[in-house]
Amino acid sequence: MASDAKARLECSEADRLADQLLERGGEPPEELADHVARCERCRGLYNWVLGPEMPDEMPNGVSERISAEVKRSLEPVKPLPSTGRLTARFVGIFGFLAAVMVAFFGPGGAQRMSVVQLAGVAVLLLAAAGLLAVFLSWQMVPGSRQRIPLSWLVSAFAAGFSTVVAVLFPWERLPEILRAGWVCTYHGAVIALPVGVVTLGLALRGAPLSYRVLGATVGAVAGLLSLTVLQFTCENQHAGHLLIWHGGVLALSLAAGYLCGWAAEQITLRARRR
Amino acid sequence: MKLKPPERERYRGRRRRTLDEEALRELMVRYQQADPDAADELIRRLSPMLFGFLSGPTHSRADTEDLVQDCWLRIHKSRHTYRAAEPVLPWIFAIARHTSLDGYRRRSRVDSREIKTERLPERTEMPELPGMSLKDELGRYLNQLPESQKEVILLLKVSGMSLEEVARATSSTVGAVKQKAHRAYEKLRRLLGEHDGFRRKG
Repeated sequence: MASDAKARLECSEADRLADQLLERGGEPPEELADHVARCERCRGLYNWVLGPEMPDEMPNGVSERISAEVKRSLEPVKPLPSTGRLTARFVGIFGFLAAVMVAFFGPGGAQRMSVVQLAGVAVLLLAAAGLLAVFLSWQMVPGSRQRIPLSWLVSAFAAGFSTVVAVLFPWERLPEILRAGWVCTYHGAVIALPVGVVTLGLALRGAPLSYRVLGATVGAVAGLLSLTVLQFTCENQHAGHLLIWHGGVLALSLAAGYLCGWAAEQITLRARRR
Repeated sequence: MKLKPPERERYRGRRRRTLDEEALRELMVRYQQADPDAADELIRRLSPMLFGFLSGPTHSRADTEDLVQDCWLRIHKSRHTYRAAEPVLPWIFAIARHTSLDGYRRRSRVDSREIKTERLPERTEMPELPGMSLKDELGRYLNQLPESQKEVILLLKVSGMSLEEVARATSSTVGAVKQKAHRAYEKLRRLLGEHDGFRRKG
């Protein structure tokens, strides 16, 4: 509460200055400090909101109990590599897996694509793989600086893939799009499953905090790798087929990953409650 | 009228680090190398902050102590993911935040099951008492904020972290943290203003 009329009149101005301070950081301006010294309302609010406040000590015996618990299993650990190294490793592993599978199923799709189509698709898939690998590395380390949300990344890829395919590949008629395309989606799902397990194993070497985001990320990686393999092995290189049946693998895999993450979260919560 | 030095220093408290970041990093590295003294020192220094962050209006003291212990066990399991070049507090509070979320979800499930079998009275806001200080009132208003805004305010206030560090701890962006903090302050001011008006009328 303001103790005098002058101080009360300046509260709105002080709020504006405090907002600027929060926005830009640094030292409080002189007039704000003067106002805070005079006005009980602002002093209470800003000292409370901006000032650090924590108990000096924990309740008796709690720290000792935690220390004893922690020291019971205290062994040296090797820190995780940097985000750059983790990303490079992931890209290497995904690239290797994709190359092995394309070689195994035969590069029929790559042979049917023109140089422009091949270049457009390859650039897009490489960029998406790199960004997903960065995102997966962030997920492994708590407190990482996450500059892009997964939803933006997936949306950007979906838009890019749709554009590249729609512009660079020929369109077929609707009956042809619907005919026998599910075989590709089925093959894609079969490829995505083991890739998802491998990716999950790699991610769990870190300490992912949100199972749902982790599940969606792993699903996206597995789906992208499946899409890559289908793109280079499938001989039907028509735009409709690529968008619906190949792109569908990524969507299915992402959704399945998210659901698995959600289920894992529920199971863990139940186990902890017991 | 100028602020006296200690008052000015208190007001500058947001940017003042009660914990030396460099010392914390060194302790974390020694903790990763299994130095028991470093583990003791980290727990001694950081537990009060975690206690402040994890305590809530509906938690008993024993519940909060359990959450702090749970949080330390998670920190212990995840210690290999800390990198010496990174700041310690966002790493710690990202884990604490998930401990808190899990604790909240667990309690919600237990509450919802208990309500099915027994009709419980609805929780009411803490009543305003005549001798309540401004600090107590602000604590009460904080509980009226949406959970995400309250979390940002607590992280800024309890840990003294910067906006950038809070963004890391909450897997968010600096812009989103600024926006949440700004909205929270606006609401706190409004509540404080309404309260002053009510008092004046009374």
